[in-house]
Amino acid sequence: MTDSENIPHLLLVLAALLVTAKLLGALAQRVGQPSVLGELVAGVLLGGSVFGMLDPTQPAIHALSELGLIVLLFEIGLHTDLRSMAKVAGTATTVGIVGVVVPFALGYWVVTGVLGLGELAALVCAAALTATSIGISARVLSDLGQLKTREGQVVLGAAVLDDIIGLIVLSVVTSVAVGGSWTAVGVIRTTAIAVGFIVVALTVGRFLAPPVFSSIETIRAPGTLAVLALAFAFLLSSLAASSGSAMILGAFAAGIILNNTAERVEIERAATMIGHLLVPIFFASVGAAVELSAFRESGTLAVAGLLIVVGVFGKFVAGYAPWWFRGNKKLIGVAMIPRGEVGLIFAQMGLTTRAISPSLFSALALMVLVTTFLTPPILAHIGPRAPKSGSVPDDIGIDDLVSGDWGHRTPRRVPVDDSHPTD
Amino acid sequence: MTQTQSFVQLLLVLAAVLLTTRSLSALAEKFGQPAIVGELVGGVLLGASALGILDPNETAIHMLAQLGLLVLLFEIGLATDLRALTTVGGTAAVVAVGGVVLPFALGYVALSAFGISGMAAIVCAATLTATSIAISTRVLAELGFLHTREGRVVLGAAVLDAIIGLVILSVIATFAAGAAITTTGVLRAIAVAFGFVVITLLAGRYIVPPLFRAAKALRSPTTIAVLGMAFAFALAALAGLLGSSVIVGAFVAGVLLNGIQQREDVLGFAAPIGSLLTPIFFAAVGASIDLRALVEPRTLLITMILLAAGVIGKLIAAYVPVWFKGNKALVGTAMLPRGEIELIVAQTGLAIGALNASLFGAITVMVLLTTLLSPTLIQAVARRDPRARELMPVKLVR
Repeated sequence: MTDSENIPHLLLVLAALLVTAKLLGALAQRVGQPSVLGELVAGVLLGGSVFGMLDPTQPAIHALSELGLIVLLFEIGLHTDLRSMAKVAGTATTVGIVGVVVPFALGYWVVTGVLGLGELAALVCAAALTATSIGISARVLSDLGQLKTREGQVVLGAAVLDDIIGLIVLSVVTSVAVGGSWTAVGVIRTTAIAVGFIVVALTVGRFLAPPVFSSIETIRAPGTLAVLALAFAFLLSSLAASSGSAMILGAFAAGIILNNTAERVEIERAATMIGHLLVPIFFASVGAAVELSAFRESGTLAVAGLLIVVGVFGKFVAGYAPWWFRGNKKLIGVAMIPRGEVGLIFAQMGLTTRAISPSLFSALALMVLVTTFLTPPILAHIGPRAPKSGSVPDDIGIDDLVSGDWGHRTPRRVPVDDSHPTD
Repeated sequence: MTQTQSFVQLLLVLAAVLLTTRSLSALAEKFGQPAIVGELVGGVLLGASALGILDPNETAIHMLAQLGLLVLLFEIGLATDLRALTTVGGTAAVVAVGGVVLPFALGYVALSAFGISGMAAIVCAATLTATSIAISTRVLAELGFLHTREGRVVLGAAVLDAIIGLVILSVIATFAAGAAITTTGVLRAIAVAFGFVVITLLAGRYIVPPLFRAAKALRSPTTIAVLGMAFAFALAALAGLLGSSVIVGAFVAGVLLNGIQQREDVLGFAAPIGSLLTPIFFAAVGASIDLRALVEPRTLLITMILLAAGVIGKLIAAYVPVWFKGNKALVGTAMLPRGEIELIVAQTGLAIGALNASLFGAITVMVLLTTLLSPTLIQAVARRDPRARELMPVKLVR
């Protein structure tokens, strides 16, 4: 029972994390930035680079942050209306594919041609450049109240697609990095599993979920609905992962399925509260994975600079790829920029398989850091202005993620709740 | 990559735990039983003695169960109003102390006579002391007796019981580290545990309200609620680092936040998190039960001894305050339900090796039986009270 003595320590870390993340998040909002920025900075502060309190690889923290990611994706799914997403399917696909191909090709060329490194290192760097952090993109968009707009739907669709493609690229690059070879059959299989999972889950779920959840509704025990909805999300995530696809795909699909049940609002209320606890742990973990010491080496800085240019440019042009789309293309391009945790996963994989040097890893981490941190302020700058009322919106956190409407966020003064009795 | 694989496994286990406990506790509530019964039974089903899906010693499960326990104690603390003690303080205190001392002494003596001694007997006797606030309050409220003199005495005594029970738990946990059990050691552990509760409660009364009044400047109820939870984590960590039990800290944090203006927001935030995490704790307790140990005649006998000692001790305690002119039988039966705290004590005893599978099983069955039987018993006693017809039942949702 060695972990019994770790519980006080874990609690201390969690308390520090929540206080720092929430206070910095509130601060970020007050200066007109999305609160996720505050949570990321809180992670950097508590992480190995500064205080050394938060170790994202520690099993308990890792499990909690992954649960946070699942709750986040579940919430995003709950707010994804498949019909409005289908309307922008072509645009989203174009943005997603161009946003993978351009950074990958440019990255590969830069690493082999300009830096003169080997093919393997180039593959890892190029792959890390393709990722889009759906969590950060969606969170920033919703902080700005843009998630439900057409642009928001395009970004969401493209980011989900990028995750699927990223998964395929990851499995291919991993097998190359460990010295194996990859086959076209393998690539097709991974793709087919991901697409097949979504199609099967959504088709079956659309028929089964509404009757099942309306019968659960008859159980009047408080919290039952939300807990079972989360259990459903956990189940689908685990199914997705064990069928060879991405975990978050399952959580997202679970949310979409429950989007059209009558109990959505009640599920969402409880899931939001749980998200308030777990999602900051996820974002702080992303921040904590960053090594600030990488800033000090000039060589690393130069390489990182190149990668940043490629990363920003590659995603930004993707926003302009669907020439027929009459929305705010700049917004789409910028929202696709953050690499977040997905980029870090690639870099980490490259480091552990020795495909890239520690210095190149730092450069990649720096690229991820800069793209992640730059996007929120840029988006806030080019995006539609939030009403300047001087007051911090009431619901900081996942509520903004899900409400997606600034007008909705009037200070909540004990709402008259008509849909469910409070306990 | 193994970390990812084990996480996928964890998700599957969590889904199974949540589905099973929720359906079984819904079933339990349909039959008028507390949800905790369903959660325990769900744990038994998923545990090693039946399906073998849930391993309570697995790191992530253990961590989530502990968090669920903390949130539960935090919620109990949030619902605990220390002012309930002031009006009937003397009577409640006597009932509480009597209700701790008598079952403990009876249980210890009976077990010693049965050949169980030392730490095992102490832990077993300790599980006879606390009253489940949640179950007592709910049953009394449904009968309309919550706001009578008897109701206030029970509530006050149950609050004190919980605090005493947590102190006992801390003392037991102190010896988990392998410290030799000496008189000075025990006294020191009691002093630390009580000192922590008293000092944090006293100091907190001056520090917490201004702090949360200042937090209003954040203008976000949810942020304040998250900060309240962080406060509970911090106090729990402090309690743990000082050598007390982490759950004492969570409970005290809840009691302190009971008085702040944003209590409803904190409660509304803690409740969904509790409904997600707390079943994991009770399922883990259920999963620790070895069904094979239960069917041994010796285990059944111990269960009966514990049951008898607990019931007799609590009933006598209600008659100790001779000056109290209320319905003493009602107070006594209302003090019977066991619940969370004894399971926590049993779990700690199992973890430190003081209890074997047979004793642990006996305790859990004792808790289950008192939980199952006492609501009916309280109802029977209350119906014979002349006031039963006039009082209006209060239906609590929780």
